[in-house]
Amino acid sequence: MSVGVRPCGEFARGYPEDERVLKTRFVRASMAAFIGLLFILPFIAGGYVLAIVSGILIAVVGATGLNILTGYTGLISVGQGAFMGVGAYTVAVLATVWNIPFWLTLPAAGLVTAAVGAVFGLPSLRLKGFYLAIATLAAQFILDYTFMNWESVTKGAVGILVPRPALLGHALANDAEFYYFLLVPAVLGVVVGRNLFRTHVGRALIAVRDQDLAAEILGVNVLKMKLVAFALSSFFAGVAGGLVAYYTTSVAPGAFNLSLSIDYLAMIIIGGLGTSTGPILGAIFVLLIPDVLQHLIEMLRNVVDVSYTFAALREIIFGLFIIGFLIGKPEGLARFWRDFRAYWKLWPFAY
Amino acid sequence: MRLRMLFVGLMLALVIGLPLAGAPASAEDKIVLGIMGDFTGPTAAGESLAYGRRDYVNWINSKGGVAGHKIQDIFIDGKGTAQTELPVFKQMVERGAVAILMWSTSGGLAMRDLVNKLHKIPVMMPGQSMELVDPVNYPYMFILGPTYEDQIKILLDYAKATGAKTVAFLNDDTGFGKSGIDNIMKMKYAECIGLTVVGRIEFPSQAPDLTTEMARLKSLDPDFAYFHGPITPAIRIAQASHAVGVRTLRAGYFGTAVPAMAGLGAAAEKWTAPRLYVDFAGDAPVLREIAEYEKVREVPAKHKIMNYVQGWTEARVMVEGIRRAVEKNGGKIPTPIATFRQMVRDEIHGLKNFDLAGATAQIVDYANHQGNGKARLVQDKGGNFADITGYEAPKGKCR
Amino acid sequence: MDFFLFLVVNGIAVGGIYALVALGFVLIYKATGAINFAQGEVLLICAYLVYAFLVQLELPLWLAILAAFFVAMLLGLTIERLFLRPLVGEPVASVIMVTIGLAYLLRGVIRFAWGSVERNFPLIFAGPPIAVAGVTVKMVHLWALGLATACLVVFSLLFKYSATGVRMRAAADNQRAALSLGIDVNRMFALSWMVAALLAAVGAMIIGQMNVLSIELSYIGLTVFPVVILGGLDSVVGAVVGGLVIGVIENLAGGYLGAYLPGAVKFIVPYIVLLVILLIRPYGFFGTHEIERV
Repeated sequence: MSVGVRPCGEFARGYPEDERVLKTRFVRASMAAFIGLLFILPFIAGGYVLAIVSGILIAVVGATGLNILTGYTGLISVGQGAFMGVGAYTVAVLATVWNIPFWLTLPAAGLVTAAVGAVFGLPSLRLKGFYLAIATLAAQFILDYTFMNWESVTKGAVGILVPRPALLGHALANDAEFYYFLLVPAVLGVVVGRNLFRTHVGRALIAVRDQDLAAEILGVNVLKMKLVAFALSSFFAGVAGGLVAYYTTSVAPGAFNLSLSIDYLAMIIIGGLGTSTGPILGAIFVLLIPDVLQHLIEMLRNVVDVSYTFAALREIIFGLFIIGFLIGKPEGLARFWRDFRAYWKLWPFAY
Repeated sequence: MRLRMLFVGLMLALVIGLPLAGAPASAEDKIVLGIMGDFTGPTAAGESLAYGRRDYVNWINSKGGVAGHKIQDIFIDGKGTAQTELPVFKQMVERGAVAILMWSTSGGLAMRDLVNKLHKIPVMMPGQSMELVDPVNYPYMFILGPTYEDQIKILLDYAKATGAKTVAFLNDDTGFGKSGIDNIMKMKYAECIGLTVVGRIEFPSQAPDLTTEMARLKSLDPDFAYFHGPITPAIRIAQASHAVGVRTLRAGYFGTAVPAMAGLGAAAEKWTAPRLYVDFAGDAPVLREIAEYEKVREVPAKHKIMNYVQGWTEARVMVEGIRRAVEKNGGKIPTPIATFRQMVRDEIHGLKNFDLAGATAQIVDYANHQGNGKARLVQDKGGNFADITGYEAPKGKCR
Repeated sequence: MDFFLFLVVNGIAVGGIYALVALGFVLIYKATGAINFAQGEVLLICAYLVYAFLVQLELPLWLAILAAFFVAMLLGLTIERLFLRPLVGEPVASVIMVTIGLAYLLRGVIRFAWGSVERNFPLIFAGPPIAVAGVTVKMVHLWALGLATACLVVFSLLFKYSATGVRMRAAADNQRAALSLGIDVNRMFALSWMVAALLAAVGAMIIGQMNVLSIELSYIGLTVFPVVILGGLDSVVGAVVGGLVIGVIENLAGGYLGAYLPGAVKFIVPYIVLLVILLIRPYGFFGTHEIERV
């Protein structure tokens, strides 16, 4: 990540200080406040806000995974939805057939999805170019078919009803408990995602995206790195899918379709490819835009009545945002955020 | 530095304040009805149903509301999947909804405990799946009309009555198509009334050409064939079966009796389907109601289809339950909200001989949470779907 | 044997349609190096345009078709100018993702203008079915095959022998080198999108014929991937041959496996074929052997 701007008076006295993620006292204090806010949210907000934030937390896990693959390693995947489905069904089957507790099913979901991902990814990862995009499209359709038709396991069109996860015998039923349950993997995911790019593995992935030939010459095993990226992203997707299964308590074939995959791509594009705050900002944006749009249309009902064309407008705006961010601001919302912070740090100076 | 701290403090206050402000104002003095639609999700083609629901509420409000109280509707896109409908449901409950018109079947099932155990709030679903109908275990969930399986049974009865002996089932690979045929075959209704099932054909929903499948149908040569699935593959079936030349009587679910099917001309001749709700080409008091509403606000032509009438009628039933509850309470809105919801649910449950202005068969007794188990059958004759039976219920004794 | 022949002939008939759609896709890849995820939506908008000209405006057939072609080319030009030109020089990944956004946008525009209700597409290629090798084939399929073959010939010759064609291939191969040679890369891109849109319009007329007109038609844009992987992403011949082969494979799978495997297995067999081809012969049967293996 960027070096950032340090205010006067704050300087590093050694390498550990220099390499810190949160460099200044102010940033650390803000982060602490933010985490604190996340923790007390159930006490100050109602079920609706919690439901929205819960949805965002799940999406953050999936989006962080996809960002590792697409944002940092430069490999496009349109199969994120289907891989989440694999995770969801894994959790559903393990929980209903063998009553396995959540702290085992969720990692299992991640591993199973990583394995499935490897099957689909392997043929295309050896090739240069965008074959992964096409292979994941194939994966999307094949997995859709499997969810619908492998009735003995997935119960076909009816789907599986998943019981709430239980912690020490107590089922996590109400909103607040479940919110905390989701908070853990979300925070973990973001931290892992961020720290990955401070290790040599992360730097290797970025090298693969930018100049894989040069990377190879420098000794980076490109194939292995691509596989690692894909496995990681699939793992995240699997866990996110498992969380969805627990959250909605029902897993049905139609929910993990191509539309969902594109939503996730939109999240990381709009949020900012290859940034660590990108997935979070993108998830918030993509999940909240329809609601904001709805309110806007309601407010404008007296001026111009477009409420009958809501579906079309939402698609148009969505498409325009994806295209707009790609053309205009490729670093997405994360760039806006960074610029905003820089502005505040430097005010009243321009730079 | 201090300015920055001030700024951060301000932001924090805002961030904490917003969720608090978002908490609902007291809803004790309003009638709030939640209306879910699907405008951007998998079943978005049925969005007219959502507009029908909302417009009925608008119409009632334009005439003064329910016992003098206006109904406030919360009209939101649920996006058609259980995961996306969950926060919408919670928002509606939080904002004091006394009842909710929900949308997807999978959503209804996923939220069954929230509806029936936690919030005890009456809801209605437009999808006529038998999984949703269980007055004992799901006392707060209602649908309106015969289930898809009931409708297929009525069709099979008709086929038998016209002399058919063999039947084949077709479906596409959507969850909707698959579960319908899975269920009717599991029930063995066709065998029960004396028909032989000669085969089942399944195909991808997006296949552009169904000649091969229709050739297989031709080789099976049943007297009657029923396809369960959306209109687009149904039209392809009509075209392909006509091109291949089958003598089978073909039928689809109620959504196939639309102008797009009739417009095929010879290929759709004698296509049969149940008709649950009157469409705008027909004649019924409900259409005159809608015309009256149009004086307040125009309804775009593209939404004037059967789904709109269905939405209108669903809202009618809910509003009637609300009206009766309010009137029983002496014209005042019952409080607290839990009592209000219970009263509304009981009123709907107790509806008997309730007229739906000709939109569909009368509700004889809503205790079964379906209202009526009847549908008419229509058949395409020369480019128009004409009634061939009156409102009927399945006759066979087997369940 | 009869059944087998029936499946094969029908497969070829449907394959003609796949070939037509795949051609537009290959054209864009050959000329710009980008994978176009929006081909189905471009086709969809062309279909609605034909509908609008023929049914809503009630123009005579020849005028409607010409108008549709004209607007289609205009559309291709606009898309290239507005959405793709700003990305010249950017990594191709961005272009691909822009086409994904474009697909969404076009779908939204169609939904806005025409709504989600299904409509009947007007009959253009009417005529009694013809018997081929004892199997009846619809007129529309023969048209598809004929048009696909004609396009195949025209484009093969164009890319190999005409100056424009060679310039297009140069622009796709290495933008910077082409620019330094004085090739107007922008114009090449614009041209390729215009022609691809034109092909989409032709495809739309064929596909609309056998179907009801609704937003779901755009899915055909996704079924094109097995075809182009099989045939080779940058091969015009591959698109046509691949289309026919996939059509046949699909039909054979449906006919023979449909009784044993549940559901619509015929839909995913092409995708399994896609994955297998990626494993054993990634550049397809007619593509250039350029893929570097890692």
